[in-house]
Amino acid sequence: MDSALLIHRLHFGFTVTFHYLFPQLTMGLALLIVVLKTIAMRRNDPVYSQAARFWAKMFGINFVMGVVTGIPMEFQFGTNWSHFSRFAGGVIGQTLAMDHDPIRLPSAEAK
Amino acid sequence: MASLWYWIVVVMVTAYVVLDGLDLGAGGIYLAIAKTDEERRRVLVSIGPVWDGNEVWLLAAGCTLYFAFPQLYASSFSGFYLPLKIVLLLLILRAIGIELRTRVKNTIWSSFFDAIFSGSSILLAVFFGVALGNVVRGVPLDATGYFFEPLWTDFFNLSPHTGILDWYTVLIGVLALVALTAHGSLYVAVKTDEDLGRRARGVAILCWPLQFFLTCTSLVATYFIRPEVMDNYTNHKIGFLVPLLVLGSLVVMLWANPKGKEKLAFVASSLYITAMLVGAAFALYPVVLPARDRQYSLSIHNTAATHGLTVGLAWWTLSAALALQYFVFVYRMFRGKVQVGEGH
Repeated sequence: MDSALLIHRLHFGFTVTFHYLFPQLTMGLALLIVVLKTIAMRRNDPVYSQAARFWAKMFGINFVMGVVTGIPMEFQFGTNWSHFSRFAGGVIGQTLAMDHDPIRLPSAEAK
Repeated sequence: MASLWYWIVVVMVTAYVVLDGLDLGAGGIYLAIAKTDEERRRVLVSIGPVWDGNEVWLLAAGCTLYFAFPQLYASSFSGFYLPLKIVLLLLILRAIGIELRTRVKNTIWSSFFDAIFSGSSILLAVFFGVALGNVVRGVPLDATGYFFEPLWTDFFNLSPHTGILDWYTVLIGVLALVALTAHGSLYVAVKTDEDLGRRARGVAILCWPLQFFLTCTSLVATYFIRPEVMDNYTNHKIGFLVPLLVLGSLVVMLWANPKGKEKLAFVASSLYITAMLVGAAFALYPVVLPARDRQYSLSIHNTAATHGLTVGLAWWTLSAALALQYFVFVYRMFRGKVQVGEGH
């Protein structure tokens, strides 16, 4: 195997794996925070409100890590796998842009 | 349809430069204007809630480029491999600088992270200018649609094998640094008061003559290395509104800032950046990445995706509306001068 290719693969594999840890948690936590906050409002219970605040902090840190690790990933689609991007960009780019595009922005507010 | 996406990308890149420009500029002057720890914290608080949101525009613009013009994304990202990795490293260093600076209590470490934050802000401003310079000047694309640029080849003569850095791209880089420094210091002047606000205003006043001089020089230099940038302007006379806007906003900046109307000056500076970028995009259109050998240039006709563009328009409009709402919300929640202790 061409050694540069192997290094590119390892490089990209590491980037993707590391990035993948964070967005999942962000998406799940968003739902959890909504549920906690709803219960807090319904029952007027400060304990749930406190829990929501705690997880919102976790959410904030996770969100930042998701964005920061997402930038190298996006770059590498072009820098390491440009032929792939050339052929599949129209398709994979759509979902990637949906992921990164401003839809996710409002969640930064949790910080 | 491809033209529409061309202008959408231009709008997103402009939004990125105007928004992240203010915190890059604030980072650049950070060490010079903020003397005490309290003042440094104030500058950081003034950009704290917005800087990472601003950077999302870079990602968003990149992703939009990716699905709208896959061929362009593939060529430019592999061709600009080295500078992109440098930009990536600088973005990471800057984020580390800001975040750790506010966490550590030790003076030596906080000055260390101050220097990292400020230095990487300055270099990023220069590199973004250099990137724009490269796109306007053209790159050595060949028949396969790919190219590779080393960091530098021949600095003074534009040979067919151009490097990332030559006299023209460095000129644009320095212009970007000066323009963003002025932009950032006006932002700090809007957000802070007392000595700190005064010093920030002073930096903006000092920048003005340089900014004016470099703007004129860069326009002449661009015409010198690429005379065809005038084609679109001569065909569509309405384009001449753009340089008028550049001049007008510079005049407003000169007039408003010493009078203490820093808000107006900041708006003028945003307008200046917008006009400069739109002017460049107007000159390039419909080419997206000019080649040194003109026949290999990438334009919206040979790089655009096909049906994906229509699909993208549906959800993009929705997400853009949401994002806009978010930004209006954050900047309104955060209006007024900042004091230390407000936190974020």
